[in-house]
Amino acid sequence: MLRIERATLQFGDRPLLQAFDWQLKVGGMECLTGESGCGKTSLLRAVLGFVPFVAGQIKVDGLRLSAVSVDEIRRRVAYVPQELFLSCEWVGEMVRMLFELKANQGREFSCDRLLEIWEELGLPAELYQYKVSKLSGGQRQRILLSIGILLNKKLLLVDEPTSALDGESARRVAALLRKTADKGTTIGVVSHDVRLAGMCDRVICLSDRTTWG
Amino acid sequence: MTSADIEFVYLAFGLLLMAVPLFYLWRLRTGLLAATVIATLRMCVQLLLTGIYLRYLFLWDCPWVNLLWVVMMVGVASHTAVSRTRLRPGVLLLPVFVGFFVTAMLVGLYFLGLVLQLDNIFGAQYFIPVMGILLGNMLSVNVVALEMYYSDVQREQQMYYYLLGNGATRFEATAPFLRRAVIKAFSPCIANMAVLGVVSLPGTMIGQILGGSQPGIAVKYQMMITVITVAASMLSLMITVALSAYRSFDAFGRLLPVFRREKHK
Repeated sequence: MLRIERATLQFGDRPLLQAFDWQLKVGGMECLTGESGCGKTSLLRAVLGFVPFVAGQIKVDGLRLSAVSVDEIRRRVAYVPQELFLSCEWVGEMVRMLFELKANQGREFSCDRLLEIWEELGLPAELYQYKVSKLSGGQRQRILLSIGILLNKKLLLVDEPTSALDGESARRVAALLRKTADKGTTIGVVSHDVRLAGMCDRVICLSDRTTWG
Repeated sequence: MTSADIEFVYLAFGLLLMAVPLFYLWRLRTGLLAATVIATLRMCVQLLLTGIYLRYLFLWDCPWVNLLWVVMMVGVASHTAVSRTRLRPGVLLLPVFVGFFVTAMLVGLYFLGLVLQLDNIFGAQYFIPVMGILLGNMLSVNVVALEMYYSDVQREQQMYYYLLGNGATRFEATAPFLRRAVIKAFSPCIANMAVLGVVSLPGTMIGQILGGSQPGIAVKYQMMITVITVAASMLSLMITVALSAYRSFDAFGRLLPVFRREKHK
């Protein structure tokens, strides 16, 4: 599903990640971890074409990442960033935003399914009527994750989904991601959370290139 | 009936009214006294020169000269618009120039040919003032909208990349920012339109009435000038945003540096 071959990322003149290989199989769930600044988030963003890579290649679902294929790749991926403050006023608006995109119009927005996911994440249903500005950081993070899962795309890339969460909420996120992977979604997650890493098929540390799982 | 001329000595009497704002600017220690005096003097000199060259343009009334004059006006307006934003000329100057020129020609010639039904749409008497009024309005709207649009995209890059990363087209990913910029830039025009003739008598109408036109004719011109300035402002903004995207986003949709580097004081 995702194949990264000898990818080298640079931040200005400083090499960030050199000659990195990663293969994420269909239906797999793998975690990237490592020290702050080692390139975890940049790697996820490079898969989407947001960060240039100076060497190597990236393939998503058989498509080699290029200026020509990047739009198609983005249509096949659901991306959940670590932090995001959307300028929508209402939560309802926020959750529907991605479903209004042309690329996602074939995907049905199901409020019932959304609330099921929220229940698993420990989010109350009444949040749907809330203003976005009233949400806590943890609630916002979980809502973003629920949108990513609801899109039901082949590949889900998630950046630090538990950074703003307490232990119980983080456990729920990890369990839901595992359940989603078991249903066939390929998941690449960046995280320092050992609970989440424990749910993954494999954990790769970018700092020292060790792998376990 | 034509306008009554104002002799220079009486013009000087009129300029004495500037003493009112100058007094308060001085009294309140605003620091704007010198700038206002300079601006007033510049305005007088520039307008007097404008009167002289327009006189000759009207005398020659050569379509090619008139068109060349408008091209120069577009150049000056484009440069002025870009310099009033914090955006890099390399990103914006050509798109603004093309946006202004194409829009001025399309909307202006539509008005002159189809609405006014003029035989000579490039005649100086109508062509140059109409282009001038279109450019003036396009300039002010584009400055506000472009500055806001790019500032918002830069500041809320996360939202832009979130939308793009989840399959948005380039237009869909920038639409929220363009929407806000258009609302900010056009709300004053729309509010103004709603009160035209009620709260104030607008400039075009006054100019025409002072020039001897019947009020009934003056209001028709005012209506049309209002409509074409709003239409031209919107069209030029859309053209500029579309063209500047080639210089402000790369082939992957990544935002390129669009703001001028600020000099450290």
